[in-house]
Amino acid sequence: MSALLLQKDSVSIQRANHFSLQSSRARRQRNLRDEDDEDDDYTQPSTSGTQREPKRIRQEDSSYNELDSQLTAEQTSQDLERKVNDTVRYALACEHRKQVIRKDDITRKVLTDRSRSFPAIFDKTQAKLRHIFGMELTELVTKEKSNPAKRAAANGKVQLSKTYVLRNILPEEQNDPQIIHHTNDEYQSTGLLYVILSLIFVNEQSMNDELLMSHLNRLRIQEESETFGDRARMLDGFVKQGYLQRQKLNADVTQGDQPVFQYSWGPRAKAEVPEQNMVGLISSVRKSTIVESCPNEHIVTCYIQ
Amino acid sequence: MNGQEQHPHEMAEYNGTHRLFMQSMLSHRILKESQAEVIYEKICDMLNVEKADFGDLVAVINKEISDVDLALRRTVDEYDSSAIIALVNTRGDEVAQLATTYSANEIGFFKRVLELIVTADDEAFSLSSMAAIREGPKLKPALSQRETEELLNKLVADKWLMRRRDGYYVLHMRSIIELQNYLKETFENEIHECLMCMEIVTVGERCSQGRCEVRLHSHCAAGYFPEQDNGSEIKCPTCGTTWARDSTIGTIRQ
Repeated sequence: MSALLLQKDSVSIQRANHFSLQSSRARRQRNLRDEDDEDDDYTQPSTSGTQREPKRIRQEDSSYNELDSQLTAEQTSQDLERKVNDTVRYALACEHRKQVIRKDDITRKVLTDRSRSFPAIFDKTQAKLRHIFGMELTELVTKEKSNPAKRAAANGKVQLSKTYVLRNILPEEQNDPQIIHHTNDEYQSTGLLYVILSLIFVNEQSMNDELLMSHLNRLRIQEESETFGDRARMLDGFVKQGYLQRQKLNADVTQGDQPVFQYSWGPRAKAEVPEQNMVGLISSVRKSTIVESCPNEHIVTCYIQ
Repeated sequence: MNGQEQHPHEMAEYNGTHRLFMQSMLSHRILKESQAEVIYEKICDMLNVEKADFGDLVAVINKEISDVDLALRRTVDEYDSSAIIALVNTRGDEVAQLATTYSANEIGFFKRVLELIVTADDEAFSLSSMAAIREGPKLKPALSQRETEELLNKLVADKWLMRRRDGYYVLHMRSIIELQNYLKETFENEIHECLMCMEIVTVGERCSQGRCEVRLHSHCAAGYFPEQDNGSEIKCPTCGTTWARDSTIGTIRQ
């Protein structure tokens, strides 16, 4: 927020750049000093992470040429380290908005001139995310091809999508409401999302929009409800966040002029929600037990039987 | 690490308790320190790890997260003098920019509200609900009254603004901590730092001498001035004017 505020007016942009120019010199000085800047209240924006700045730094640094030749190797590793830290921040920021993280965006927005080092930076980013936050980037599975021929060509192989979500890898019991804060809105929409996911799940992993809407109507979640507001907008939100996937069915299944859409689990739901949890949730409602001997991939059919 | 004299023991390794406490701070952003300590205790119980000194916990985490330009900052709440802890960004850049869940128009509104709060007459550092709601329709594109109210509620829920019991909007401590650079730069004349603790002060006491810039948090003033029972006069530490404890800023005016 503070950065956006700063960049909104031109006066502040100039100030921000002014800081940037100063800060590479300041950093040199800081390196010389002891690590006693720990309790500095005022931390200037660092130079890393923005696209315009590296050029400026190089110009300014030209006066340090003799030093630079000795420092090149060290700087390269410092530079990589900084890109790792920027990628960590980028991942956190995207996850905060529940936005899917694209490899392309990481290379274009964060790595810029270092995009060829993606694999090394990515590994270090993962290590850092796991260590500090107990989270990791999980690559999403691509959409299944709606075209049967293409699906056959893919030969059942899992296609990776070069898109990621940041997933919590701490044991589930640690996600305790007394420790982790969620807003009421989050609880409400997550509750509804789980209901939708389980409806789709027991309907053999897909459900057309007509059926889904009739289920929702029965739950009193009409087109406009007090708790969830505009229903279509909310579903769009789930699709955008990758929890639901919405596909247009082939023309021959359309009803009149209305295209029929089909909902299935989105890639984020597949990455974040273990099927076992879903079965647990559903069976807790039905008060039935899960067939233990049932092989995982047939769990749906076992359950329905 | 400096200050080794005060902490002769080795700093603890970053472990599962730190990780979970970080996740907790990511979800809360700002907490009363008393709440944070309860959470930390709960975490230690859950993970069966011996509880460390809270200050050590914060130090261990800060050592680890400074690389990614985050920090846990402990300070005092201006409004009730309680100890608080916040997770803050120590860098403003376009990566951090994404962390916001607000549209450009909404940010524009928030900036306007900040301006009206900070520049309020007589250092009131507050804005009436009516006046805040009137700002929405002035935007381009305009926000309806209902949208403006919803946005204000969201800003309160996200702890950028606080709605005082008299219905006035004031800065939440999160804004004071996280937006301090923006506030200091944008409102050079209006934003003062407390002479004692050097943090921004929007609620506290001021020197009665109109041109004197000395401002103090109430809790800082309470620590600085001796108890008044001996009847001796207290003076501004800078200009020597008699200090009136009831010359306040940012408090509810009758």
